Amino acid sequence: MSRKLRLATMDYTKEFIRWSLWYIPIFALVYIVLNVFLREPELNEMSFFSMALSANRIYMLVLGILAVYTFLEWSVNLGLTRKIFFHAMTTAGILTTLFITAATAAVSFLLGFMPWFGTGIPEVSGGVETLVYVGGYLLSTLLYFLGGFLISAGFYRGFVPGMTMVLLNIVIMMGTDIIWPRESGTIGLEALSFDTSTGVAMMVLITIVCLALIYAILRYMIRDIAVKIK
Amino acid sequence: MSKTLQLDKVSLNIKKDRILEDITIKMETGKVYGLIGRNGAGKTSILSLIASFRKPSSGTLAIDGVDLYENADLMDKVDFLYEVDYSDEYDSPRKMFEMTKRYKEGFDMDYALELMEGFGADADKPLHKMSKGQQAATNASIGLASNSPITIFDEVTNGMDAPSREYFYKQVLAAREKMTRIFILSTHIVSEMDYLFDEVIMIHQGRVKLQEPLDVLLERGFRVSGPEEKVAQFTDGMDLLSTERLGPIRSDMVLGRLSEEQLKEIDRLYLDISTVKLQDLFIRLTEEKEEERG
Repeated sequence: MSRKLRLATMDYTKEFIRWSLWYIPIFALVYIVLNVFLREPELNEMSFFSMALSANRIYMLVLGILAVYTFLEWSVNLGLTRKIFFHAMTTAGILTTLFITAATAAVSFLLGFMPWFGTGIPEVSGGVETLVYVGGYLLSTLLYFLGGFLISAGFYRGFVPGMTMVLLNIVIMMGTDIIWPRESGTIGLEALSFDTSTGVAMMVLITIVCLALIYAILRYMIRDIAVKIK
Repeated sequence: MSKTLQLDKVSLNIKKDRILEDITIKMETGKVYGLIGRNGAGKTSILSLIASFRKPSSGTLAIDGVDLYENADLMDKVDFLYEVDYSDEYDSPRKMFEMTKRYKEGFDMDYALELMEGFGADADKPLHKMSKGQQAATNASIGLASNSPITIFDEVTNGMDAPSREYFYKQVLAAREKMTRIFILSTHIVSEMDYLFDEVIMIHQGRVKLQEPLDVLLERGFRVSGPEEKVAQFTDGMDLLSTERLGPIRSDMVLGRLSEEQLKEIDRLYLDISTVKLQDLFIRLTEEKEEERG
């Protein structure tokens, strides 16, 4: 990793984490208020982490959408190439995904000691299934970040590329949501399930292919992107 | 040390519009270049290409013969400062300087802070709370203190008051003395800045109209003044750029160089002769083109 790539990765990640330190407490507050005032068994059984897994995806989508508009001009102005910008931003996306997942898990662990809040993930029975479930969400969260990044790059280039990227994202995100059986007990596609290792491997493989596809399109979109002066 | 910046037959198309055509410019280190042109002439587009903000549609752009675009070793040798809207920027100039220093090792932090003091701007105040002039001073300080081999100022004095502009001009000259680098100044305020320029690059309708040393350019024309009839007699048949009258006195601006005979004629007719100002020459030269087009 070159010095500039390392610096840019650090700076983007630092900025994303700074924003996340606003997001996580606000989301925790919403969770606490909902659990204190609403008496819904489904909600009260759900841990903070379980609820955050889904919300984190939307949060990372928003970060992705902000990526080009917030950092591209700044980066090129400091002498970074578009290639460095792209690699640093995707790495920052991965690191932030890991950070918010770990941070929400930690907050959830602490809240779990209090009697008002749930501790489990209702959709899974525990053990390896939980690991696969959380791993799937991690991949999906990263996919949402790259999707947002793609939309951002698309709109930065113009309205038509932007809308095209929105449509592409809808297809890819709907596709990956269908294959991951997140609702309790149900299976997205018959061939794919948590019950068999082949099913899990297929789900992971399909998601990684989607990630690779978005990654490749993103690289193409960023390669010669013109920096606009406001 | 980067010695030359060369744009060779560079063109730029944005969608279906041809913004720049066949731009060939050579710049050498140690000089201050004035990039002048009317609104929409293509000045900022040229600067965007030099700063790698855009990729040329055709042609090459190189530092010492090495292509600049997306070159990680060369891109940080170029500093591009332009008017930025800092209304959403909560960081202070000091924070911005620190960030610049992280990426540009040659950045002189002490000098940047000294410049801010010279501009009378607080380096610790958030940028969104600063006046336009103070924000412009921040940009100017970054550019001057970066010590980048190629430093571009695009209308960077916009918003500055007269003393700040004067301070900036002095600092450009001081920075050039301190270290050999290429300065490119793009401006509308030609009359204030012309004394800074070693060479002038005039852009008109997306093309380079001329690139000449300032003294050579100013010799392209002259102003002759005196009694109406005598001036009219002298300039008859010459390429007149403009005529001004004040009572019985007439002043003609003429494009062309004076011959020995013409100088003797001026003496004989007791006419006054003076050099033209860059701003006048610029206005007339770019007007001329428009008339031709019309």
